[in-house]
Amino acid sequence: MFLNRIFALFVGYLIIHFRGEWVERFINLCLQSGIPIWDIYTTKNGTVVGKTSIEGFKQMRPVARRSGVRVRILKRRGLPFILSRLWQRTAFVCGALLFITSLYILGSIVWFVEVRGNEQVATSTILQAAAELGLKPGVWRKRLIAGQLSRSLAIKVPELSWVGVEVKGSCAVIEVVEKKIVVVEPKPIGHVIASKAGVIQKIVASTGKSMVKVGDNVEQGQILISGAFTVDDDAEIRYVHAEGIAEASVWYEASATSARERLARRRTGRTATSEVLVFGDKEIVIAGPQQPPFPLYEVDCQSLPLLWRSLGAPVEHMRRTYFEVEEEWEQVSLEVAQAEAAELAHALAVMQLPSDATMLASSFETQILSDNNTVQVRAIIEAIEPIGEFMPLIEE
Amino acid sequence: MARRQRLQTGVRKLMTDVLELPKDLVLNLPRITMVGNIQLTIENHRGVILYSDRRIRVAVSRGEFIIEGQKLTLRSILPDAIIIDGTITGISYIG
Repeated sequence: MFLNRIFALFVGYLIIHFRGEWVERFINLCLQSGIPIWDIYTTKNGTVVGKTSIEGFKQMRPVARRSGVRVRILKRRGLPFILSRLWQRTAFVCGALLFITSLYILGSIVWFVEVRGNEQVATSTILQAAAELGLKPGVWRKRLIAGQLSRSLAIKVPELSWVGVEVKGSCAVIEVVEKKIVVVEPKPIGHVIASKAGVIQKIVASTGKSMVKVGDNVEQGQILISGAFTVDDDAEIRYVHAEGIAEASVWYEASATSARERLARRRTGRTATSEVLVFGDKEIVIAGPQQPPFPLYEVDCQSLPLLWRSLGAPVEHMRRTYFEVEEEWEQVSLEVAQAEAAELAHALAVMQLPSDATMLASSFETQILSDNNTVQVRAIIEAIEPIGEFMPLIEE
Repeated sequence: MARRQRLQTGVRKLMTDVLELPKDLVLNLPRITMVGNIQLTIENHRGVILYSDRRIRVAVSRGEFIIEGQKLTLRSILPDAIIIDGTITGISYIG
């Protein structure tokens, strides 16, 4: 039913007007002749109105004549009539078509070119390069091949490492990633000199000419690898930035003393403990001795934090334990004193070693001083470390 | 002739009663369907006898229907069915 009506709209139908005595007879005759007729209703002034197809109207004439009903077309409805009416309004149809085509044409032109992602390279440079390759406002979208364009744009602008061209509607977006250009500064001409005195253990010149051999004794400031040298018989001096590995044995020494007879402290075993509350810089002793109870003592402080639900109190509880000590002279053996002095001297010598040095060997020289009580030990450490240091050659 | 037809009708009626077949198809009787009081469909009709916006008479196989109402329209007329729209106030059957 509904489909029939839609179909009727497409093929067109007529609203007609029946006038006569025998409208019912006319309707029945139409039914019998297979003429489609629908939506019959009576208007206010008593005439009967119905709808029929174009084809049906043509067949209706003999039927109307037989039943004595006069048929008149009131309205023409449906697509064919609309089209024929449009056909008469040529200007309107042309305008509509022109509008649609111009909309399509305007929509297929790139109107804007946008550059994104550039920091160092100027937008105008990229835009100009793109324009030379054919991407500029006003070109046809279909002419642009995004992949090809991005490749050739990346070649044309050498500062860019990647270019992506994307056409979004009437806007072309050029997305770029810039190259990070690393500027290599020319290295200054100069020599590699010794930063310390030592005996060369390893000398390798990567640029320049090595001036010393393994086993050579070098002074501080001596040229190890030269940056200004001549090759073979060529008289011309070549200047380079000398570079290479120069390692040498370097000696570090330190001495320490230790006395054989000395005052030693020993805990007697007597202790006293006092509990102290500390408010800022004030102290209140709540238990135990107020003052240290021994003339000679060692003290051990233990801080006990007062905590209440993880909140620290402004008061600190401190426990002080005093240990009584006594002093007495003791005599140690030569070996003990010597070992102590050696350990100290060695530690002092090690402290002088730079972090990149490797310790090879250590030796000790022991000397008992004239008072016959003090032992002096000198520790000598041999270490291998790089001593090469670049010194620029100042030219005129 | 009339006797024979009556006999035939009797047999058919019996068949529909026994076999529970739809009576409108077997006995060639009209079938009326109403949607509330706004639409009415008459199947198996024999044509329109009278049409006005207050009263429509439709011929059926043995008699006629009189449909009364307001703003009655013949929404669709097909050889086997009539659809009437409008406000229906009364239907009567005259055999």
